[in-house]
Amino acid sequence: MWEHKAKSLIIGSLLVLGVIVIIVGNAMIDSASDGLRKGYIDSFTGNVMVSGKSEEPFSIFGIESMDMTGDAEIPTIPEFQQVLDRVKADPRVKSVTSMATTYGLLAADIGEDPIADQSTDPENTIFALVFGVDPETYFKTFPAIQITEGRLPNPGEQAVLITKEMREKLVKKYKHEFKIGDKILINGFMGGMRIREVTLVGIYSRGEMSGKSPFILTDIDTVRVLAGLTMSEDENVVLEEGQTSLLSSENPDDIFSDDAFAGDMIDSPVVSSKKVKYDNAANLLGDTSKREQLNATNAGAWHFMLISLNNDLDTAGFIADMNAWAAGENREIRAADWKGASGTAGKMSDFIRIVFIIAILIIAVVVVIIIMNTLVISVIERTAEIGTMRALGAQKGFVRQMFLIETLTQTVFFGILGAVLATLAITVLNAFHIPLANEFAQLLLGGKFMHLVPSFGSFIGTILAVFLVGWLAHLYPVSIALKIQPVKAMQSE
Amino acid sequence: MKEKTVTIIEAKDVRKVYPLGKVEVEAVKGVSFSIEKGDFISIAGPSGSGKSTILNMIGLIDTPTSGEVYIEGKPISGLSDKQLTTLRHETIGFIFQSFNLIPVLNVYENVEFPLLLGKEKMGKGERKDWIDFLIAEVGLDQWRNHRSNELSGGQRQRVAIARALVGKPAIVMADEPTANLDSQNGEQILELMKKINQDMNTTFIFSTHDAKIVGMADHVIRLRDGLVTENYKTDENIAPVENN
Repeated sequence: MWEHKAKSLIIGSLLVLGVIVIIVGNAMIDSASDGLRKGYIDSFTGNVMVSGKSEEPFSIFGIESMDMTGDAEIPTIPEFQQVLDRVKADPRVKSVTSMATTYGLLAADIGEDPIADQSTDPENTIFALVFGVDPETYFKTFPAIQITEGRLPNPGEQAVLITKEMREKLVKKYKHEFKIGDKILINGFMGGMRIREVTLVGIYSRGEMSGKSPFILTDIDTVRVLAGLTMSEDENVVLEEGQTSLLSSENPDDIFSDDAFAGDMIDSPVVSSKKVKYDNAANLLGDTSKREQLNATNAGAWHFMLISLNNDLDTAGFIADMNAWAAGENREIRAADWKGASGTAGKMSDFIRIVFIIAILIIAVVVVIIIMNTLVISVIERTAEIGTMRALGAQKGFVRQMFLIETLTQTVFFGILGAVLATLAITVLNAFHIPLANEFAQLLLGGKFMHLVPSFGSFIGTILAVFLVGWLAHLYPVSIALKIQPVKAMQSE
Repeated sequence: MKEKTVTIIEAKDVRKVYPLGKVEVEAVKGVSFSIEKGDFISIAGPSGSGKSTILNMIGLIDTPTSGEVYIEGKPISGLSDKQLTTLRHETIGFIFQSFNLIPVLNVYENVEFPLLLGKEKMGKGERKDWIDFLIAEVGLDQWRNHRSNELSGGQRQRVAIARALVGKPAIVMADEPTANLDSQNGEQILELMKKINQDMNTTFIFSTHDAKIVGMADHVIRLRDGLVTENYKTDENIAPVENN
């Protein structure tokens, strides 16, 4: 190895660089995973999410399917109170809160149409992801969320809490200071157009998970109204035959003929001198109590139950127990961890890791080929030496073992050197507190400063991977050397 | 007087053909001879006569195309590579024309190297003593820690002789051992080999085209164009053997 310094240096440099890339890269990804996990658990999802079941994928951030019809909806939790009682009874639970999600566009003027403005004036369209929460339990479950100005909503109050950045957008659009107590309109478009006027009661922050995120917190009834979570959702409405007959007809004449409304239509107006009072007029329409009942918001409608556990390590067990209980009682609910709760956003670090691993594998193949070629040259230069050894009585296994030990000594030596340099690089990077200017990077790495998390597992795994690379790379060159007869090898001297 | 009681090597109608593209070259065309234990034998002939080819075949580092070679009465055809290597290790020592020392090892380590192959027959202390003896015997005691690139040609060949003898082989094969040496060094090397032959009764077989060096051998086999032209022992004044 020392005799052939140039080749050893080529191989060594490749290995050291490769090891540094793998260890630092893994540290970044581990940091991202850790940051994301902590960020989502502490600020959005808790350890466990319980929700209804749906064929369409969804998360606490809304529907994630490609359904463009707008028909997909987040299911509510059926028999919510019984589920809540079951959760609260579990000693592993530290706290639990409930939430519903919808989308909306913010406005300050009832006359404007923010939905139409999306295409004509997108910059001034203020999109919001609306979380309808129970303030008392929500802020207890997510202590990372702080009220920086104002207060919590009072029970039953139609209220909203927005971020500082959201307020700045409103100020920029409407050119006036939005103070605590001002009214804001939320235009909902999930399952129909609805507008809700709410009172701005506070400004909140999720710490490092804030930034330009469009999340606003409202009272639960506001979301129920905007999302159309009415009593009819839970009702099995049974129509009589006369009421369904027109529905089954495909002939427009059936619907629009004079006979269709025979007996129900007034053919000619009759003028009456009798004054009609509103209450009398209302009675003409018949009993609408059922309709009113069905159109009322469902006071028990929640999309999600977010649970914080006493010990993070209990997460998997709790989820398994919850899902088993639901299956045993035929309840259409599911429990999931923070990744399941956050959907695509939470799987970001997994995706990045997969891309990184694929890149590393491609690099590893290239490195194996380069090392292999370097070793082939080395073997060819040493064929006389190999032939001499064979002539003196060295078996093929001895020669193979000799090259293997040489290669592995190189790979392990340079692998460990690379690992030490990588650890040093990580320590230096962390010490410099490099700020992350990009908000995506801040979200990904769980903070405003770069902080890499080296792991012992990554260290050992990388050394083993380098070991494997060396072993693979030596196979072909040695097989070439051993095929040469000792006499031919000596003739090449 | 040496006791020459045993035939240690025997070649029977040995041929060697090398393919050179579409043409086949017959380097050795069917030779037969026997070598007895303790012989100091020269295989002589001009370049291209087949000396090195015959040496390689009886040295078990090349295999005959046809015919049979016997080492200590055992035929070598049908032996696997592993068996040939083991037999070579236990029975034969090599001295090469270009010395073929391992460049990363010093004198002591080069001489020791064959003992690291195969099964260990000597204890550590005994091994060290034997290596020290051989290094002293070839006159390189003060150079034991030097690498081969720090030695002269003559010194390197002495290391090769010591290495060839370290396993106490029955046979030492030397392929043109003095070709890369000046005449004085060449004579000294041959004298050394002869001394060891007499002291240890080791059979020495060396190829050469140098007449002066042929004259130092007890037994001469002359070759020309792949055939034996003469086969005689110099001290018994036996008439040259006709080629069959």
